[in-house]
Amino acid sequence: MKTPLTRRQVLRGALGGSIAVALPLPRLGAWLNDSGTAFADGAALPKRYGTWFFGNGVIPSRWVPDREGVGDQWSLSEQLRPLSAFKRRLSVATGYDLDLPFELAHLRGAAAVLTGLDKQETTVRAPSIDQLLADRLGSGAAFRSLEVAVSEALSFAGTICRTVSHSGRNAPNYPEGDPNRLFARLFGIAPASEEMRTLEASVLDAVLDDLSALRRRVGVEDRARLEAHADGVRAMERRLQAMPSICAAPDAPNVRHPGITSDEREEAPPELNRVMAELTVTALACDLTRVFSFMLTPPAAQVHYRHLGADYDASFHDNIVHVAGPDDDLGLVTGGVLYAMSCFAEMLELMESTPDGDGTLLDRTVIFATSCIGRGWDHDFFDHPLLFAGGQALGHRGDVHHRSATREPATRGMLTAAEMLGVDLGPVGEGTTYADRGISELLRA
Amino acid sequence: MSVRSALLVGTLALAATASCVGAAGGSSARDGSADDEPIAANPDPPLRRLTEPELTASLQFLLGVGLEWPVEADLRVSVSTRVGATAAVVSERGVSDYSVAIGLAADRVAADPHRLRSVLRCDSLDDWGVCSSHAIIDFGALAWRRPVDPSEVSRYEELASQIATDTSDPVLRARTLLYALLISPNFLYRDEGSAEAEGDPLAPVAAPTGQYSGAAMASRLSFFIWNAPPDEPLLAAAAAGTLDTADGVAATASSMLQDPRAADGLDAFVDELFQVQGIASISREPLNLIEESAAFYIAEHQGLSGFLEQVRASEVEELHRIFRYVALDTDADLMDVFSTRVTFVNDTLMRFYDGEVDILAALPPRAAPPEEPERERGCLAPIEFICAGRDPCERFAERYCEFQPEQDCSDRIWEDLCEHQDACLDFFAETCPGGGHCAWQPEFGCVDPADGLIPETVAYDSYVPYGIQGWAMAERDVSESPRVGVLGTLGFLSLHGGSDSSPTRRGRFVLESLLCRTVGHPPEAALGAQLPMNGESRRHQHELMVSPPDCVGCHAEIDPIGFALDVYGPAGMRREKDRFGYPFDLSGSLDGHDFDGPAGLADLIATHPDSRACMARELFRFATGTDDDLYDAALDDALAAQFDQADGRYRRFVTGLVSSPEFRFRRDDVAHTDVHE
Repeated sequence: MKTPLTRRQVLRGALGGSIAVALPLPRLGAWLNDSGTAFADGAALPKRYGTWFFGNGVIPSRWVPDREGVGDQWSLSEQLRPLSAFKRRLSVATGYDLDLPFELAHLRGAAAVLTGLDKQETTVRAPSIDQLLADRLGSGAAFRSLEVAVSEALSFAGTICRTVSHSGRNAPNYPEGDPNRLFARLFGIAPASEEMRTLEASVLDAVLDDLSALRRRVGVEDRARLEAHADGVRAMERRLQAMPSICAAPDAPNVRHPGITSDEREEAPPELNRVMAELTVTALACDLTRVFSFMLTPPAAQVHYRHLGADYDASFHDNIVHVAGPDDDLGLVTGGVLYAMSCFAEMLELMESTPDGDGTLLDRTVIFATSCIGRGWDHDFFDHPLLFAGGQALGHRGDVHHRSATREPATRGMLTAAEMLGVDLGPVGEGTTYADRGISELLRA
Repeated sequence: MSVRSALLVGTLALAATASCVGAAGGSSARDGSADDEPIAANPDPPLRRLTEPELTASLQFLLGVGLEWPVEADLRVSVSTRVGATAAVVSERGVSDYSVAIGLAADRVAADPHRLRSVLRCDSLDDWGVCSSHAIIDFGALAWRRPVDPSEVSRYEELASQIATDTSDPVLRARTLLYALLISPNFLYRDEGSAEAEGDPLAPVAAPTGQYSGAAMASRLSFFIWNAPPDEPLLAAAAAGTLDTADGVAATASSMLQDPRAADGLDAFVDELFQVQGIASISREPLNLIEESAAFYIAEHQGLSGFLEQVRASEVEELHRIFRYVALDTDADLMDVFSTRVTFVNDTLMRFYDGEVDILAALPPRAAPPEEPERERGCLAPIEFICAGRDPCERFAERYCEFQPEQDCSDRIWEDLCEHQDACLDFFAETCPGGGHCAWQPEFGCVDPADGLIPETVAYDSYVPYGIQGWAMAERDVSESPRVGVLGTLGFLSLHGGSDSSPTRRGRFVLESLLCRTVGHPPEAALGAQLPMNGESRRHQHELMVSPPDCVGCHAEIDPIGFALDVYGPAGMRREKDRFGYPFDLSGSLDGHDFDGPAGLADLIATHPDSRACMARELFRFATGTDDDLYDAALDDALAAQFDQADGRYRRFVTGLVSSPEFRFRRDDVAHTDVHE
């Protein structure tokens, strides 16, 4: 057996940027009942949810599939083609709209499609869908939710552009963009010995006491802030008990990331997508978390897809999307969307190849893929991209293209994802973003 | 818009005429292209989360170590982390990050039992009862920036006994207690609002006057003036009642402003004012580089990322140095930062200023590049090279020697440290803690080409054509140059011009951040607007592009300011012609005053009454975390008057400011209580 990394080694490795990511194989078999449909103790296998986000929208004339329907009745559009291996696992909803004011549209679109409500300045006004679902699905796992980013190429510096996960106003859950640190978070932070765990538990009790003493002295808003802090401390307590996970400890490296410098953070190279997707899927497979958000690029991303060729040595938002024209005659936006969809397909492939009970991880994970805008070129909110993947062992029918005939609100997307997981969130949004039900055509009968 | 902010209209807007530009304040105080959530100002008495720089400075002060693990990014409200700190809600991950970062810091201290004892004020770790008591009462008061209440002492003594039950290892016990005191909310937050409840000795605000307690004042003063926590003498002054009177506060502030740490506070203000955090995301698109001939340098020095990091750090340092020169070294009117003919450069900056004969004339002749760069194992340079002029680093070096009294603090230490790569990296990680300007230094400090760490940067680092290496910024008189003050610096020009050296972006920053005016958002028609490419000059084409009635109202005010700086490209380098081959038209006007070129603009900003009033407000906002929403005419007038009374001199203004009721009394109470003494 290999000598396990000490906590400090893992953390220091993360800092040095030289650690190799080692993906453990979950040993689920030993923990399941004979038919593989539940844990041995009878507990149901977890349901999982993920937001998969890419910035800058699509070109609807090349995104929307030609025909509506189920199965052979429809086929993938040009921009969806990288997902062809997963067509049966996929649903596409088109013709949905947000119909918000023009100004700072990328921020509005991202806020509304993920929280139901338009933005306020550069923050959201309500929790995002992943956090709403974490309330329902997250308990029992070591991490209530996991936030991951591939690119951090920001246009705007408010919270909306830095993350797609929000616990509420001014309460962003910022994603981890460094694979080495993500690895350390998942496998390196927990106290290494029983003695350290005991000490940590004693300290956390004292911190909670301090928090409640302070809470008694401050105003209403500050009380809520301290309560959120206390939630974080209680999550740490929970992790002390939840570890170790059902996974084998990380072992030999099979991915080596060269490390990213600050100059490269504006890119979203395939190797980085791959390693972040692997770590995310590992976290799910190990039941370290049941809810994630994966941000390939942020809203209005100034991402540079340099690996796609010389034409892409420019800000995707400023110098490609906003000069593309309505149909993207040069095809440069389409190139970027195709790349995003190939990254998405890679995540789906990893999930499909990861066993989970008697099926695969993808069977029991609903992924809602979306963006910040419909057509980025002119900030058209119409045809906001709404994609659903996985969850066929749950409530997602799959292999459907449904087009709204009446420009219904795209906020029905988040409700659809919840309904696929059997969760009723009630109505969300207001005005043009008000929605009180998901898209039933995408649900299993 | 609140009633109070509605009153603001007509105060700072002395000369703002067009519909798109108004006085700051109200519900859209700052543009969304920066970071802003003015609605989010915390109306309740604020609990201020330590910002990342404040946390870093606190760990440095208390433990002599830096952040080894990043904490949750600061929230910005109205582009200010100081305002954001009153509203930020920490995430679950953020709480865990505190624990990891502080745990690593505690580990590092605990690795040296001598240091652990000294930090915790323990004579002996083996006598746990006495040691833990000192730690809680003495170290606790320093860490929490106030006396530890008896009820807290007894709770922590209980924890100390629990720890003693949990482990018998004396070092681990002490490490755990240290960790506990620092992940406490009493360390991570500054409670500056909760009013005195009956029998609450910890209340930072006295009822009913709303006056801040001595301990609260100590924190307010030190995080403002030093960007660091209060030290023991300051807390002692607070305990002695010195900070309870205006005179006492003035005298204390006055001596704090003479302390070298005052430079750190000023640097932090500059960082907020110029939003320097954006410097890390400045694009390196080929357009910029080719246009400004920087490609040569990039090609010359293969270590691109390290080079850019050094450029950025040097650019920020130049801004810092100009402010320090005006505010601290020469005690001049702060507005001189816009008009001063003195700047500070190092070799890195000279690579960009190169070719500007007027600046070059003041420099020694350029040396030829070395044929074979020096590649020796070990430190390339002593501490002077790494940290010259970096006060925090120097102070750390002193502190390090305090903790290591058996070692003599000479160059030999640096050599010893560099015997081993790890020790060296550790040292530099500690010396120049995460983020900020020193983050790249581990790569530059110790180089071992044999293990291929960063061989390219060796060549870069040892090539010092102008003899101003590393951080040694040299003062330069640029009287003969059109580069004037901070608006002529590479840092400002590259931070606020965007990849196309946009006159609109530059103009907008000047209006919003230096004149405290609000600028409207572009109309829908602006989207996808393109230069007409009609063969005329860029300014003509730009003006044609923004000529539709929906656009021209704002742009006519914003753009001329930016066009005055158009002679500087996206990275701030001088250029003779625009991208279409035309000479520049740098003329424009602001509030009826004409200017022509960077020097004229700079002199106008330096003397404009709005920019003076705005500087006063920006300093107050930095000092108190008061959001734009909460200013009213009375406060703005008071600040502006105070700034004028002080002749704009930083030390004098700050001293007056902190001893005024606006700083010594809670905001709500200032408005409703007669607090003038």
